[in-house]
Order: sequence, then structure tokens, then C-alpha cells
Amino acid sequence: MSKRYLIREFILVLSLVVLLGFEKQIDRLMYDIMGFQRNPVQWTSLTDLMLNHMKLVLLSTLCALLITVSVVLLVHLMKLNALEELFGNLAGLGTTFPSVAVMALLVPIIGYGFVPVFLALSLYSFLPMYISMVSGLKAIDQSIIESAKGTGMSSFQLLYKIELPLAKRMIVSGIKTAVIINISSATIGSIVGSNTLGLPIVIGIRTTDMVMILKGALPVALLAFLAESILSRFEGVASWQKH
Amino acid sequence: MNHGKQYRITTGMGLLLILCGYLTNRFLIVKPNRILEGTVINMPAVIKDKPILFTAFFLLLAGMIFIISKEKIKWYFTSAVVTFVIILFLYGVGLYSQEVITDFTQVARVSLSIGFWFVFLGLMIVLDSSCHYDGNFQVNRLIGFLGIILFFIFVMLNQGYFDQIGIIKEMHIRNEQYWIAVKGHLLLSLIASLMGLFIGVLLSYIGYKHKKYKKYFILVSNGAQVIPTLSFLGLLMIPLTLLAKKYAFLKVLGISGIGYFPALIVLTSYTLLPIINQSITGFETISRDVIISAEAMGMKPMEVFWRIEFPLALPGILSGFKIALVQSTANCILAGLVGGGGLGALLFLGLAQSASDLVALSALTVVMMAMILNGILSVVIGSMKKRKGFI
Amino acid sequence: MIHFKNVSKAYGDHQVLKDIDVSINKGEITVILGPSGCGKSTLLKLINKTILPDEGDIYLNKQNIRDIQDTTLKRSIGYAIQGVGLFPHMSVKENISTVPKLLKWDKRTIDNRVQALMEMMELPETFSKKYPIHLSGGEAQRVGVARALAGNPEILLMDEPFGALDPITRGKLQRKLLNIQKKLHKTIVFVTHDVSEALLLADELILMKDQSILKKDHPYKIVTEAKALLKTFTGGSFAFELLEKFRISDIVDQLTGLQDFDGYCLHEDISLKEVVSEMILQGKSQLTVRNNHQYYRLDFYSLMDLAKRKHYE
Repeated sequence: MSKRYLIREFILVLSLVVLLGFEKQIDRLMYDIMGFQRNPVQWTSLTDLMLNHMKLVLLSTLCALLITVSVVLLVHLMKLNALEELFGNLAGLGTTFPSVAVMALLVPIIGYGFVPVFLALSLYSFLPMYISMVSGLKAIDQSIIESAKGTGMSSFQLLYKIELPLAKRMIVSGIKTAVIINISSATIGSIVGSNTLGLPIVIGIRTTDMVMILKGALPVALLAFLAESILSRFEGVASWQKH
Repeated sequence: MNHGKQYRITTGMGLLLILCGYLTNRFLIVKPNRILEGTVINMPAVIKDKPILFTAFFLLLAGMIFIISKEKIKWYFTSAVVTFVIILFLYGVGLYSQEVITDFTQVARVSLSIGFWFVFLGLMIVLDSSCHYDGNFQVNRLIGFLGIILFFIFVMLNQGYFDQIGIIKEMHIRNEQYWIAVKGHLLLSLIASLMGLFIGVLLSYIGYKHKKYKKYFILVSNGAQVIPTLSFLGLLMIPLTLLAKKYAFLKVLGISGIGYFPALIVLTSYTLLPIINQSITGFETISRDVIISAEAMGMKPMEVFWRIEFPLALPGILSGFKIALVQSTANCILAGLVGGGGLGALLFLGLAQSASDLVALSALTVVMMAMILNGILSVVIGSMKKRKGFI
Repeated sequence: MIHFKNVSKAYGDHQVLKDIDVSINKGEITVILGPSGCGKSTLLKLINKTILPDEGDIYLNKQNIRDIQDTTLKRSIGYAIQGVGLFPHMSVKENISTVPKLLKWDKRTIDNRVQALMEMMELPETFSKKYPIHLSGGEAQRVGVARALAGNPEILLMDEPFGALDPITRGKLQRKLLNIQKKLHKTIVFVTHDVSEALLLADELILMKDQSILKKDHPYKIVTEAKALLKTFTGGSFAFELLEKFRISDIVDQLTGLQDFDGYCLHEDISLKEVVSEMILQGKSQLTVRNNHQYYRLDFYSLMDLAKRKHYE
């Protein structure tokens, strides 16, 4: 079973390395030899863009995770169901709000570049993480919680030892969704000036340069599938759960 | 667990948010034109200028006294008071904007900034909380009061009170363009969702009848969700442009690398996962005994589908469609990047021209559309479930 | 009326029916009794072509059902199952009208039919607009039986229909079935693993075990002659079910009335099973009963005989 995953991931990583590492050679092949029109725009190398992209995704996911955990701790430990409902409603509402819009709206206040995209991504990925975490905790059988409480555990111990491990699957699922959303949104973030893999795509669309589009679109798609594959493994079923 | 107490906490949070809006500098921005930074105005200044707002907030605080009470009527009263406050608040801001803009060259405007939105959101939270006091959520009450607010907004809009507000101004200036964009946006999302519905239900039924195909369908629709939207769009443009170059007749249909077509494909692909997931669940929750009875009565497979399986799975299918439509409405913004029109085009235009009001207008319109569609479909699904006699 | 000839059926390497050869008579309740997994449900499903045999033929009125079109066959056979399978999105009335609608009857005929069936199954008129989710188990199964009979089929197949109901409701429905059979004379094939139920309902009893038929005969004969065989299916107290089939009023025509009588006697027209119960309670082997202004003496030792004779009438 695990072998299939590894093969797939290996192929993805290999393709990525090839695309990024041999960028100059590919450029030469596509433009000079095959005759595609070269675009006289000076820009950052693919590798840098990729690293930027990953940095953005990781930081914003972590930030969102921190916010989610704090809110969930607050709501869950203090048993504030009303707040939980409120955040749930806001989260649900938030998913109808396109991430591009959030970024675009932050521009006049913060300006272009890394920061507005980072903020938008953190806020935006908080929503699915929060919903997953809360659903995961809610799905735990009440009788387990009651028997744990009966042994005299404090709320915090209950959360740490029982609830979180049992909700692990849903929590990781939420993180996975957040990462994938972030990878996609970070691509779009190029529109507001973040130096990510969306940049060549946008430039390519504007100048109808096919090669440029592919330069951005392929690596980021590979990255997304790679992330999904790795995280799906963590989502896997623990030995004591049977589904 | 004292429900009343908890909703006092959420009311408190709402009030806190309002306070943040009050304290922040950026409540409103008076701009001489759409590009220049303009003068930032804070809330106290506005209140000083417009005593009506002062009255409004005094009323709000007075209304909060009823939080202490436990009687139903008094909390109903609080909802009414908050509604009134919201209307007054909007009215006051509108009036202020009218008076502040002395230059009638049609370019100057008042932009709504963070402070305004904090206050507005805070007021909404307080309203929502006040409809919870009785312990159970009085949906009808909330909808009723929201309806009243919407009605007054509509009236004030018509009367021109909001004309100097940036967002509204943009809408008026680009009236025709705006409504064309709205229609195009709605149409594109709707068509994509309907195509997704047709394909999705078909695949779901096949997956339900022949389990071995089920996981492939789910895998493919899942894959469509993983791939980054912009990447998907870009990757599609290439073969489509090449195809359009080769076969000229496709251009007549509008199928080419740019325009609505690549966006349509991307949007339809994204709708597949929610529709397939919900539809398969809808089919699978039908009791086996029902199907056995239907077949034993001599219904042909097509009859079993139309008379039994489809009607019973319909609430599930429509739930998937609802999610698909709402997501499409939000995703459709990207169509603007490839020339597909819609509100995305306006948004990117605003971004390029640094006109934040245009960006805000597009974004808010998309959100409003999504919420309205969500509401309509939820009501339809709910009434369908009730009428057909199953949960 | 229904003939099985050398019928076999297997699922993979698991043989479900082995060379079955049996006939089912017209206008009777034939009960197929057997433990779980003996193949009785499969036998039933072969009749309406829900399942097809691997080998052998099944004849309906001398016609091989292979030659009859599937949908035509199914629409002329009623089918009632344990889970009932009422259509949740249709009202009781719509559920019952399903087959008539498929047969394209006109509206007035369908309405009359539904009303008649609901009366027959003792379902109040207010139920016609109700939805299955609001019905109790017993009520749902009544609707299920009505629905199975709606198209006026000659044959009614029933696969452990009362198995999921509580004993009281089950008893009521069993007696209801016997009642309506008195009027309708349908060919009913009834599958069960409950011996009491089988003995109560059967005009003809088929015992099945291990994928083949062990015996087919009248229940009274099986009880007296094949007792050992029957015991392998259950414990031994099955005489009561046979006695439950008849009431005092059913057998008095075989008795001579007494001139007059003083003293204790039973007034109600109870089943013979209850008579025995009363005898045990009173510690007497004879009881006087009153029926239609006449007195009769019932003797413990002759009760079974009287019931048997009534059955064979």
C-alpha cells in the first residue's frame, strides 16, 4: 500500500526537480529551438518563485493553525457553545467570500506584495481548519468523554489525551484542505504582487506566451498533488480505528 | 448551561467590535477622486457632525439594558431596537456623506473603511445574538428583522441617500457595465453548476449502481479540487487556443483559449466533487427494501430511477448543487482574468486602476449573490424535505 | 398451479437450492418453513423472477415463466417483505396505487380499490394522506399487504412479512391474513422460520432444510405423522398453534347440544387454544360452553380431532 504512494511522490518530486533545475535548458529548447516567441521580461528564476510560494504557504498555514487552535481551545475548553456557533456561522459565510477579493481589498491599506497575500491566506485557510477541527471534536462519542471524565481528568487533560487523538483524522483533513487552498490562493496572489508561481501564469496569459504559462502552471500543479499525497498519508487511519 | 448567559457574551463581542470601529482612525475616507488617498475620518468626528448617530448609539446602549432581563418580550424588544439602530446608523452615514461632498463633479466620494465594517459587523452580531436569547434560535425573527433592514436600505438607495458612498457611486457611474457583469457572472456560474449537475448525477448513479467505478469518479473529481485554479485555467488555455487556431468554426461558438470557455470548463470541474459526493450519499441512503419492492412490482429500471431513486435522492442532489452554485459564484471571479467577463473583470479593473471602491463593489456583489443563492436553495431543499414526509 | 421442476441455484460455489421439485396449489396458503439459510427465500424469489434458476424450470399455470415477460409477470404477482419497503416519498394512498397505476387503470377504479383495500386491512381513512415515516411497524405492514394486493394478483408472495413486529401485532396480522384469505382465496406462498406462525397459517406446509425439501403435507398430518422431523425445527409445543386456528363456533356443528344446563360455562366464542388454557386453569378435562343459545360439552381429548376434521372440510 505505502509503496504506491512513494512511487507517485517520487515521480512528482523528480518532475519538479527537472522542471526547476533545468529551467534555462527548457527555455532554450522552447524558445530558441522550437520557435516560440520569447518574452522580453526580466524576472525571477523558477526556483526562487517556487521557494517563495512554499514559504508563503507554510507560513500562512502555520499562522492559521495557531489562530484556529487558540479559538478552538477558547471555545471548547470554556464550553462557549454560543461563540462556537458564531464562529461557525462566520466561517461558513467566509467561504463564500472569494480569496482574491480579500487580497484586493487589503491592497489600499497594506500595499502590494507579500503581506496582503499572507494575511488573506491566513484568514482564508482558518475557515476550513476551524470547521474541520470543531466537527472532529463534536463527532467523538459522548460515552467515551463521560467515562474519561469519570476517571477524574481535567478538561485540559481530556482534550490532550482523548479528544485530540480521536479527532486527529478530521483535524489533519482540515489542515490538508487549508494547505491546498493556500497553494491555490498563493498562485492567485501574484496578481497583487507576491512573487509566486502564479506570476509566469499571469504574465503568460497577458502576453499569450504559452511557454510562460506552462512554466508556472505545471510546477504549481505538481506541488499541489505532492502536498495532497503526503498529507493524505498523515490522514491515514490509526491501527485502533476501523473504518 | 445557561444559554442566555452565553448569548450575552456574544453580544458583548459584538459590542466590542463596534468599539473597535469607534476607536480606529479609518472609519470613513473622503476622497476627491477614485485614485487619491483622501482624508481619513474617524467615527467620533462623524458622530459629532451628525447627532442622529449619537441618538442611535444611545438607543443601542439603552437596548442593552434588556440583556439583564430574562423575559421573552424584552429580548424581542432588543432585536427591534437593534434593527432600528442599524437603520439609523446607515442613514446617518448616508446623510453625512451627502453633506461632506460639496463638490458635485461626480468624482468625489466617501469610501467605507475598516471602522465602518467593524461597526456594521458588530451590529449584525448583536442582532443575531438577540434572536438567540430564548435559548433556541428564532430564525424567523432574524429573517424578519433582516428583511426590514434590507427594505429600508433599498428605500434609502432609491432615494439617493447612499449616492456619495464610493461603492454605490461606482455602481452608478458604470451602471450598464455593472449589470452586464452581474448577469454574465450569474449566467456563467449557473451554467457551470447545471452542467456539473448533469454530469455529476449521471456519474453518481453509475457509481451507485456499479460500485467498482465509484472510487474512480471520486478520485477524478477530487483531483479537480486539488489543482490550483489559476494553474488549471492556464493549462486549459493552451490546448484550447491551439484547437481554436486549427478549427475556425469553434471561434464562432466562442470556444477558444480566452473568453468564457476555459472558465466554464474549470468551474464545471470544480462543481463535480460536491455534487458527486452529495448525490452518491443521496442514492446510498435509500433503503434496500424500497428498491426490492419497486423492482418486484414490475417497474422497469428506468421507472425505478425516475419514480423512486431520483425523487428520494433529490434533497441530497440539491444540497450538492447548492454548494456547487455557491462555490462557482465565488470562483467565477477568476473568469475575469481570461476575458470571461463577470464581476471578476470589474474587480481586476479596479485593482489595476487602484480604485478600491470598484474592487469592494465587485467583491460585495459576489458575496451578496452567493448568500442569496444559498438562502433560496436552502429554503427549497428544506421545504422539499418537509413536504415529502421524510426527515 | 406453480410447479418447480429440477430447479437448482448456486451463488459461486455456495449451492442454495439442489434439484427442487415441488408444486404449489391454487387458492391455498402454502407455508415454506425452514431455518435461516435453507434456501426458502430463494425459492420464493424464483417465482416472480427476482432471481433466475441455474437449472430447471418453473411453470405457472402450465406456462414456463421463462417465456413470460418479466414486468408482466411481476405485475401479476404481489410481493410483501419483512422490511415492507414502502416508498417514503409517497403517501399511503399513493403507495397502494403503485401497481394499479403501472397497469394503467383509470382513476376512479384505483380510488375505489384503494378504499376497499384500506377497509379490508382495517386502516382508517385518515391514513390515506399519511406518509410512511409516521406509521408504526404494524400499520406499515398493513399498507404493505394492501399494496401487494392492489393489482388483484392471483399469487401473493410473502417473505417473513411479520418477522420484525412485536408478538401482539404479529398475532393480529396473522389472523387478519387468515380472514382476508377466507374471502379472497388467493394463492399465497408464505416463507417463515417461525413454527407457530407456519402451523397457524398453513393450508399446506413445506419443510425445508439444507437446500432441499424434506416434506410437503397438511400441517395436521405433519404434526401427527412427522413429529420427529418437525421437532428438529423447534421445540415440541406446536399443538396449540393448530388449535388456535379455530374457535368454539367453528366446531359446534360436530357436537350434540345439551338439553339444558346449570352451573359454570364459558360464554365467549374463544379459540380452542384458549379453551385448553381454561381447562388447565380450572383443573378440569371437560368444560361446558354456550354458543348460540345452546350448550355443548367440550372434552379435552377430542379437541384436536375436532379441529383436524374442521380443517379437512
